[in-house]
Amino acid sequence: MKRYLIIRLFQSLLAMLAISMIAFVLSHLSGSPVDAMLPDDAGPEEAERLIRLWGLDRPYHEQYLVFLGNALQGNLGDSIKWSGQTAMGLVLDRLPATLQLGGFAIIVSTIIALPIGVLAAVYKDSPFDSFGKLIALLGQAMPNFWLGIVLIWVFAVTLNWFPTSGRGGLANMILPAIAMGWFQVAALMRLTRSAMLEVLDSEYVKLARIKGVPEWRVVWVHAFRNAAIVPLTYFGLIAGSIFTGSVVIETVFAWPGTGLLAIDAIRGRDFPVVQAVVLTFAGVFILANLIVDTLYAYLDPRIRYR
Amino acid sequence: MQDPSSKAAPEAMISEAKPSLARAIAGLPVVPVFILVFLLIIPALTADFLAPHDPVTGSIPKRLKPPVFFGGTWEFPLGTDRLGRDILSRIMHGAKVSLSISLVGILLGGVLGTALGLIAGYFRGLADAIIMRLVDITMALPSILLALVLAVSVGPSFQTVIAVVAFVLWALYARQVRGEVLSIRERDFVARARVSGASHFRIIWRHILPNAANTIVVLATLQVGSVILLEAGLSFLGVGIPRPTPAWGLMVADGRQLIVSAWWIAFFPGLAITLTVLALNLLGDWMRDKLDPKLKEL
Amino acid sequence: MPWNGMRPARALIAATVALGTGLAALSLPMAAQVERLVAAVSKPGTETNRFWSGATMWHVMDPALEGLIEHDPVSGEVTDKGLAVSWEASPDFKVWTFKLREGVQFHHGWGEFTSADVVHSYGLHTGEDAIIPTVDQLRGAKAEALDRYTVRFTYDKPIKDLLFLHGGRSVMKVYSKAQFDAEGLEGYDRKFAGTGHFQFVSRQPGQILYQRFDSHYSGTKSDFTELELRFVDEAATKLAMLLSGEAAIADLPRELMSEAINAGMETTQSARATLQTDVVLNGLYCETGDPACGKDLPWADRRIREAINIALNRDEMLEVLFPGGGAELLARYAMAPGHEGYDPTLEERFKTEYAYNPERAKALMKEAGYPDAFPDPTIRLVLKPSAGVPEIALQMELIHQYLIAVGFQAELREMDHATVGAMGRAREAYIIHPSKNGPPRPTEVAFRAFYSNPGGPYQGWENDWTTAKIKAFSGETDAGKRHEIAKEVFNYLFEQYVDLPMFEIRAQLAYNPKMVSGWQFPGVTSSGYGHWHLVKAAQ
Repeated sequence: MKRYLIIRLFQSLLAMLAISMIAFVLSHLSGSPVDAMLPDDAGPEEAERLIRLWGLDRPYHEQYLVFLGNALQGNLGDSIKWSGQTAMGLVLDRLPATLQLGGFAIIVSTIIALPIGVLAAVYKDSPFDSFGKLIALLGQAMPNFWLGIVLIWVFAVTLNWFPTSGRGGLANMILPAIAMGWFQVAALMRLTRSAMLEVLDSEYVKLARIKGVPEWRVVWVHAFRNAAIVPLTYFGLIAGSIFTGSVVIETVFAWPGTGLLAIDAIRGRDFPVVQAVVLTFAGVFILANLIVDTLYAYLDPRIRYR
Repeated sequence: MQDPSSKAAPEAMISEAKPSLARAIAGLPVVPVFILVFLLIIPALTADFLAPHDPVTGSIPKRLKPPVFFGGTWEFPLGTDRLGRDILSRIMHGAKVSLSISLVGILLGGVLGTALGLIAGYFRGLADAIIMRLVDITMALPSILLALVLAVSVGPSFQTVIAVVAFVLWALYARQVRGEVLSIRERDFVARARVSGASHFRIIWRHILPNAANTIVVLATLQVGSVILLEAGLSFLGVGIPRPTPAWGLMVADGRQLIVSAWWIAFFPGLAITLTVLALNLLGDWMRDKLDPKLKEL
Repeated sequence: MPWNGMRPARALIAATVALGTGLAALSLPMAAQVERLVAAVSKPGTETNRFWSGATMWHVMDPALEGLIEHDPVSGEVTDKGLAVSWEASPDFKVWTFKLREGVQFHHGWGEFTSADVVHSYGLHTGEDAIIPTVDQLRGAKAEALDRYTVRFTYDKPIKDLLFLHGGRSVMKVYSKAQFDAEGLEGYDRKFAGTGHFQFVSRQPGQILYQRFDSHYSGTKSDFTELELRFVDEAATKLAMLLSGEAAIADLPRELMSEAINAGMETTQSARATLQTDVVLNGLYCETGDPACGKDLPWADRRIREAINIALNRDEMLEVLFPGGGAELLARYAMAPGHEGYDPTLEERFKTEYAYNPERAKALMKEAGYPDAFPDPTIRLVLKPSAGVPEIALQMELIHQYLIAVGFQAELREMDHATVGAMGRAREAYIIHPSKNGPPRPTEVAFRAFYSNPGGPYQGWENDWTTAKIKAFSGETDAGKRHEIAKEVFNYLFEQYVDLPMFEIRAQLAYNPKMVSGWQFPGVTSSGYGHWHLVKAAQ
């Protein structure tokens, strides 16, 4: 177990190093911040001055080594676009908003998916099964920005149940969380359903039934407790899709998180911030998967030797 | 050395373990296939002859005309957009665009991912380690940011979207195929082929790939839908298929602001996306159940 | 990281604000909140308190920061009601002296405003990290405080448009030197002090909160005690905020204005035009011997340039792009009355010589041998999204339609601002792209940036004649002669059809009449709107 963890940790660090390189190369390929930040009417001298100021006149490998050296000390440089702020500071300022919304979206999708999944397994091939499947699949079939706008118009403007946008209390999170989380419902529900089917068919569930345990207890206590582990594997993947979703959903709902920051940074060719965002996203993703894998390895010893 | 029964074994085992593709097609679910044929395939094939108007050039005096049963005329059955272009024609041509992005993107990502997955799973060792680390890295990179960076550096284009699609998909294929190969390579018929002196290439091509085919087909079916949605998301961010090409996601993204006054601009392409993706997912679900019940996570 | 020290306090304020707005929005969304004015505005280019090194953030900094020169909200003209009460330039426009208002107080108790603050602010706005528009013109002066209320700028070149830089463009805002001396830039980042009608309270990602400054020198007060600006980029969301009562004011795109009006909202617009949407025929770097000259470009031929111009039905475009009015045809860059070289006869000629005439366009194309006579007849139009002005992208789509209609092989390409800028800086911008010129630049700036070598990256036109004339213009100090030269250049550019002149537009916003009864603002600065203290509360 220890050895498995150490190997995984080492692999993760290696991946982060590679990602730092990719982030560096990609962001520098995307052009120069000078072109994004230079006023329309400024002449070449102004451009030259900014190139010197931002250290863009130095060779690429030198820039990368400086970046890497600083990154190892936890410093990803000063933002070019957000004057007076560090790249990492900007990301950390906005990360809680993204994690909060993403976490809530996961909770929402779990709350919807698990019961539907369980009931679909219990009432297999009934109309409920198909209906549940349809609800779940619908979330996977709509562009999320479109879903978000429709939700705003129906529930915020017409019905006035929720605020339209912005970060605030619980009420502000419901619409964006649905727009973000519905997509995950199908996969989670499917996993739960098949895990439940398997468990319901197992010996000890049959045993419980024979012993006269009431059916609801069989389903929700005996079976569900064992089936609930399976969707866990999926949460590692969700972490990635939450970030992908955040870029779009944060724009629609004016949610001031990292996704919004990422778009601005890329458009502004703000290399330090682009790198910080990519590294943070990747870091959180890798960490989430590490935790999931560890938990899973702990629960299921066969994994360790795969 | 070889008894006659062993030669027939591989084929026999396939058909025993999983129903063949041909037999599967016979029992296709009707509604999803019907939707796909009439919403995606026929429009895509016939748009060039049957679409009533040009999808790119419009008529500005005829802009923002409502659909036929909402005060419009049969000239533009689903209404017109801001530039006076016929929405129906654009949806028909859009089917072609969506279909080609999905096919080309999935083909590229699928071939690359399958090849690498086969190599990783079959040879194990160093190749496996390297490929799987690449998979990890790819999956950890936020694809949408990658698309944004790519689009701002080379400009959004059909090729950019394809590249992003292929990049996102290859890792999925590689991982799934590798997992599949790991179990296939331990099976008897592979061992026998190896003993009989078949080359690695022949073993992979003749014995392993056919057994992994079901996984690949199911994956591909399920991904057409997600590619269509990815295109929409990219268009929303302004880095998808460039204007004036009619692409469904772009049409929804372009019409989203007029959700009240000219709702039809975004509604009809949005409906096309939803129905198509829904049908594809239902079909994929069905195929998974029939062909490859192991693919639970997708 | 300078942020660490204040995080708890900021977080507390943030939580209170968030909770407050969340609850308010939940419980009584339509209740008239006279106390706090909430506006949904386009996201500023940068969220920073350092005005000089941020991009497009006038509209969100305007409540607290003021420039030297004030404009009248009704006429839009320069007035002496601002921080500078009088000014004069030497005859050669090299020395400018400003007399400052006495008794102006900075926010947060940072004391009285004096000439030392102007000199200090000039230093900030012309420093290493300054990226404000026209900064290269603002630079180069010796700034001196002659006495407590007199400040003098001495340039070594004539600078006729300094008032425009300080007023119409408002590129220099006044910060407190006392605060800087005590706290440094970190103090600004935390809680900067300006002299405006509102003082800064706090900033969070995506929003900024101001509080009424009751000791403003003008004696006028806002009807609202607090002002909250929320940054929203998605136009449909902005409209939703307005209609649901979460925001009282929203800067909507033109095509959503009619939806807002249908839902009972009202609109207001700036006194002056704030933006020009002209389109640049780029890549004609054709001074003698310049290898960058795109001589094979179709639009290197004057006849093709004319054909492109008259293929456009500008009246129809005006109707499509700006259905709610507030936009007019404009004959040429920098051709607004009052600018040097303005020639009213061009306005008249524009009506006939640039008028929609597809038949003549086709004839001109035929005469020029289009497409066969050109190695690459493709007309490359760039669709460049412009922050806050979605009409500019739609304008390019319309142009594409018109060009196809007369038989041009036109192609749309999507590029972002920085990509076009990079091509322009490399002198490889062989494309036709929109330019966002707001507010109309003075003649000298426009000449230098758009029609001479080496101009800004978004220029399109260079040749020996123009360059020589512009050089003569820049060196000339006699106002009458300057005007004549500029007029000659404008006539030449006009007859050469060097660009696609489009529209000048006013800033428009929609407001909820249940909360706001009106807002009249002058329309200066690049964001176009400001003067938030003039928003009138509904009764």
